[in-house]
Amino acid sequence: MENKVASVIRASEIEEKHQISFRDALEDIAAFNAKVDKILTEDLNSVQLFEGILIENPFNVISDRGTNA
Amino acid sequence: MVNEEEYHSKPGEGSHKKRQSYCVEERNLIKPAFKRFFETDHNEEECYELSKRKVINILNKGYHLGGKIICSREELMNGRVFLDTNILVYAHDLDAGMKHRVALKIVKDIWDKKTGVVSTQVLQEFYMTVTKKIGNPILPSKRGELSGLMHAGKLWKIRWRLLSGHLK
Repeated sequence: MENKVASVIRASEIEEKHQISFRDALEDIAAFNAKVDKILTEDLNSVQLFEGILIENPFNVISDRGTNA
Repeated sequence: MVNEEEYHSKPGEGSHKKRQSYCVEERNLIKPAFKRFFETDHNEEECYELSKRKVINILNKGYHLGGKIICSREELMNGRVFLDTNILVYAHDLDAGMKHRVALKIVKDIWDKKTGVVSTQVLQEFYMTVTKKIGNPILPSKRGELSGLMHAGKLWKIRWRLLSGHLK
């Protein structure tokens, strides 16, 4: 998905509002525009639930297991 | 979780949005119908949020609020997943150990289902990382395939041979 001008403006709004990085905000918007159900990312600096999209860290499960073992 | 206020503050949206938010608030009317689609895979909180998103999506398509909402299962859940740069990079970074295996499994799975989505921004970052930053960067001779990937990529068009080629 491409980032259009409106996406960039919106990203800057979200960056300010949620105190996340501009890069993450832009990514969230791209995902939203693509109508995805889920975002897989390692750094969860994004808001955990952006406009109803789940943001998930697939490696979380491993690190939890790692500490238990 | 989802910020209602922010949703309303989007420019150029009037009574339609108000109607939507009203509809979303009526948990007892619409939500349960959607909720059951998600119950198997998600916990209750996630169900609620997913349902809400789906309700908004469907309303945006112009279905009527009061009566029945007619939509297929596919409309409720398209299964699309947006992949961040680091997932793609781990899938190619042989030194990443456990993370490599997990990421590779995810990418393969998504490739088979054709449900992956990436943005141009992610592709740019991915290119920069796998050609310059990781311990075992992709050789210049193979970068042609990478740029082919960029060129081909509308949504998810990563060349399978790129993935399998690098893993040998």
